[in-house]
Amino acid sequence: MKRFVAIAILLVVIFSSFKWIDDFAALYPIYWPKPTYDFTKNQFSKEKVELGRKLFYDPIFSKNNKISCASCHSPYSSFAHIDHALSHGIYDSIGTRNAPVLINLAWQKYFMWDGSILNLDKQALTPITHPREMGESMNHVISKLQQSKNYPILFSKIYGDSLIKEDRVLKCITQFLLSLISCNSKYDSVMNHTTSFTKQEQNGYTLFKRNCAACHKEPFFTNNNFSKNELTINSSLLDFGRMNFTGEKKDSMLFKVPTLRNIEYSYPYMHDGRFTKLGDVLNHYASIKASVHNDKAFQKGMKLSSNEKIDIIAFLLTLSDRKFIFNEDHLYPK
Amino acid sequence: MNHFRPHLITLRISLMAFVFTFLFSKVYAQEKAIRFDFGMIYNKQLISLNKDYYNSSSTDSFNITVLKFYISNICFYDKKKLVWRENNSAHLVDVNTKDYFTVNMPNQLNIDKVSFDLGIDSVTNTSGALDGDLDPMLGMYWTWQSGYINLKFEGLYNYSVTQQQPFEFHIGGYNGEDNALQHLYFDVDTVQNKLSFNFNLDSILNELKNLNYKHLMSPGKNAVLFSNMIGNNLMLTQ
Repeated sequence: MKRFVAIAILLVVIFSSFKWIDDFAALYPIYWPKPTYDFTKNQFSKEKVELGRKLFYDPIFSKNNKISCASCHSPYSSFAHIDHALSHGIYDSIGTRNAPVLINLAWQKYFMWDGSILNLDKQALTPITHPREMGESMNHVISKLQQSKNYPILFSKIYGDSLIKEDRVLKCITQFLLSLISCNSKYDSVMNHTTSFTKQEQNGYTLFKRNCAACHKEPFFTNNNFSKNELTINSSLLDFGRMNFTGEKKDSMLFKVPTLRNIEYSYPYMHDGRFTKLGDVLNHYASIKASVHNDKAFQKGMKLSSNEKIDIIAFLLTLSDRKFIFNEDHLYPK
Repeated sequence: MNHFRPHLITLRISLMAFVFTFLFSKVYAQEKAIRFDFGMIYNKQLISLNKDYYNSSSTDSFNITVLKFYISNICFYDKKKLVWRENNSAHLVDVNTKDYFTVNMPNQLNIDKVSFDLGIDSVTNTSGALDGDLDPMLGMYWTWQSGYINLKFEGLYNYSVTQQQPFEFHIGGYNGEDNALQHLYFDVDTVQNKLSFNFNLDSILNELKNLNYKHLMSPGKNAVLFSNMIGNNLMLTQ
């Protein structure tokens, strides 16, 4: 009998220790691939997600205590900075790049437009310490959090002690970011066979697969890689993309391929927010002339009629996920 | 048959009274649509967005790229007395896409003054994110903390061919000393179907040239000062 109880307890412990896998798997469709994020070092927990959410919306991370992560990543624009070409930072300073959407990050390998961050846990350090964004040091952030009234209690509930460390803070923010999963668009319903595209959307989907899907690969609508999309350099920003990080000439003007999910909500577009409308983006791609000197994806050129562009946009709008946008679990914690 | 006559008379009177009341009430219940138009004037000329304009007395030129703002809490007055207030009054004006809106008010009102807020008041700001013109996805919402952006004014000012100065003003703030809301009054002669308001760019650009900052994107003292300046330069032109 004693042996039976011991085995039963052991089984319960084993199963409960893997509960986080089920908790996270419940958030995304069964036909999606396994996440690339290494959960073994930061097991998914709803408590950490909730604390991460509180941290994400707290301006305590900025030097003047006025800018939070949410200032440039608003839930209403799929966590991008709607209607802002470039990010804004402390003391009304302006950054050099457009804030990208924050969705489905558990499946991404590179972060930032130049892919300079390889680990999601470290990503938040860049905006926190950037002088034109939050302009703060992590040591001072930790000190402010430790001296606050609530945070030591909240950390204590999760970690068993009230010590606030950089690793704990960053991993809690990561947990919230990992929970931002967008998978309830019309496109997803079509893939689930619960609805169907209109004739125009279907035509747009066919054109999309022919012209865009090499880079914007389903189901995340990114190939998690980099591309030269033949944009001219902005003379005031002088942003050479991945070359700024690697220092290699071959990487000049290479930028990360962004997801197209929720593209309707995340204008303006491109790494510097130069296009305000989807039509402008398509016009740019359609204007690239076929040349062997182009990036591989654009060597054949992209011939699209006006009607075909409209159909592609109709398809792109099926990637809008309103459930995600208004999901109360993502909004400012009350 | 005679004994039916009083009933018939009563019926006819009732019917006439009903028709009369119906018509009378219709006349008074009829609504009048008043269109509010907005634009910019420079050197006595209407200005379009995304177009270069030159100052005839200097080498300066400018190009306004964005002018978006909220008009809310519209009220009409007669002899200093409030006669009508619009319910759920909040309109987003984007000079690039929709530079007007229409309000429907009762027909038979005497009016000699109109007032509205340039921006969104603290009550609406603290009511959480709303829909319609207040939909946070329209790009006029900062965060839960900073609330709605009352006005966006962006463009490029060229002091000469070589010296270009982009400017970007996102003005908002509803809390205490940071409250940048402008409550504006305008005299109107008669009840017109259209009210045209224009920002006086001559004055605004002069002020802008003298500012030692060309970007404002958060609530604060400078946002309040800029908001006052913009409010003072909105004119009713017809």
